[in-house]
Amino acid sequence: MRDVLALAELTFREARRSKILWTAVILGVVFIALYATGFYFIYLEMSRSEQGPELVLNAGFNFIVMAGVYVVSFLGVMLSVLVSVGTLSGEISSHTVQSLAVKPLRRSAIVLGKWLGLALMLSTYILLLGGGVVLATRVISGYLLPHALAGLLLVAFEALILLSLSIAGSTRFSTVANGVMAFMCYGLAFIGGWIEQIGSLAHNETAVDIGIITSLLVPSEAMWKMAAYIMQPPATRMLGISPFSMASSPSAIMLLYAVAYTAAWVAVAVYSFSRRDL
Amino acid sequence: MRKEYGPKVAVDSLSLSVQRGEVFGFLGPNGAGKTTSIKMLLGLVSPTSGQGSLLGRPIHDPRCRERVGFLPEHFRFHEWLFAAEFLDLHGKLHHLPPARRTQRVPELLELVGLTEAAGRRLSTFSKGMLQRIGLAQALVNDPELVFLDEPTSGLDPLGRRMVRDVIHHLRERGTTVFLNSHFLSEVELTCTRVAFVVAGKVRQVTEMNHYQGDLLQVELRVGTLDPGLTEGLGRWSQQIEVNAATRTLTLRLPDESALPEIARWVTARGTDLYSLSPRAVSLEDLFMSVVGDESCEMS
Repeated sequence: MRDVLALAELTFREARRSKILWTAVILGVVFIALYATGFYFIYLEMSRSEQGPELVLNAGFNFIVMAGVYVVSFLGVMLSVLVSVGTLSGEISSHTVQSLAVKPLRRSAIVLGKWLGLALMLSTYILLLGGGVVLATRVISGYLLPHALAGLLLVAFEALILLSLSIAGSTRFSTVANGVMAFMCYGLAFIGGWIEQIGSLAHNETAVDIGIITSLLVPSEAMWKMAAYIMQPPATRMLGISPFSMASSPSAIMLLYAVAYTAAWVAVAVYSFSRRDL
Repeated sequence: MRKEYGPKVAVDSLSLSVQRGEVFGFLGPNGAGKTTSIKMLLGLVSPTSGQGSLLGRPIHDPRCRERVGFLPEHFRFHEWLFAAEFLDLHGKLHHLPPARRTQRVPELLELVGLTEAAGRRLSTFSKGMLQRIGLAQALVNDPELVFLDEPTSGLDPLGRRMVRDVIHHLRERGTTVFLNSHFLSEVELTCTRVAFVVAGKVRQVTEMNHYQGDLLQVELRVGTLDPGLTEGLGRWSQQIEVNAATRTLTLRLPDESALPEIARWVTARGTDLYSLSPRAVSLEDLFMSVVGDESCEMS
């Protein structure tokens, strides 16, 4: 365990030293500032013109803050793939991994250390970025997104699913091949999610089944759907479809499945890396 | 141990044992399987068949590397680290307590002459400096066994001298050194025993002090060559080469004890003796005689 922590810390130190961390933090602040500015002007406009019931007003706020959280979710996925796609393959091809692997530690410590270091950084970043969006909305308009913490945790978990997939891939594939694989998996899950959504509105069972199968193959989009479902007030759900509203939510079993799925990819990564010649 | 990469056999049947305290030279032409052998011993590559042990533990047990150091051939490390930080990290991965690391890091930097560069990033290091810091890294845990894969490649004469001094220092302390090198003169100066590897097989293992006594090459330059001379010298050496143009005879002797006797015999029979020069057979000669023929056979 101490080896895992030492290597997780090394991963964190590398991100800090290579300026990835600061670039991400500074651009994250810019992102939240931009969101807050945009939301502020929309808020002024809405509170002036729409004298309607609070329900309608809140539905409008919800739509905007969900758009912000959706961007956070998308960025989370992109970042998780970008930072992990060459993490092992790069070190294998540059031979830097050799001096780690000859130390008196298990190969699994190298994989788990990297996973842990990246997972902690990514989820902290996503929670801060998403939290910033939620908080800015709350401060400006007084509107608080329902189940914000649980929803953002699901969004962070979505990124960890792809992180695990991409780390497992990087034990065998070259950086570019692995990047293509990870992004395509995300793309499949994304399209599958929409097919299911539209299928359920159109009562087309085949479309729904296709969606379910893709979310079993790559359950990342299902996590976004769960997050989007719980972060909306019930009234908005009934108003019908918007890009961020979900008519239905994946079940709790899907969440358990996604946890097992992630653990399975981490196990694959450990197994595959332990077996290969360096 | 044996290692196959698909149809290609990298190491055919490696079978050898190195005693504690030895400085063991591992020699062979490029592609003989030297690096793959070291990688198998260090758990980087798993053998297709066979087994080995380091310091009494099987090689698949990571704990066998607790007291082992390694300097890879193409030394590369996370170059964003600072020199002292780099050594500290490696000490940490060897489970050295923080207090020990604080003490050990400056010691090592001094040993390899990099005290001044402690606060510099590895990315600003020259090739020679990287090799030095790599060597320091291999010694961070006070190893009982050190693997050095081509430690002097890319070093200037000064750097090579430093590596040689470090190896001598290790030898005095009783540390076992497994040295993989192309620089035969270096091996000659440092090793106690050498193995010659050709095409993934150990061809010959030679004690260094033993071989030096075993083979002495003596060159005699005389006034006139005659069959009686060659025949008479035959009682000391089975192998005599005659060069008529330079009027020289080359003999192989087990040691130098017969030299005065040979000189007396030659002059006593009335032959003019211009020179009698003995020299030890170099490791290169030995290397060529063991490896050279094999390489020719292969091609």
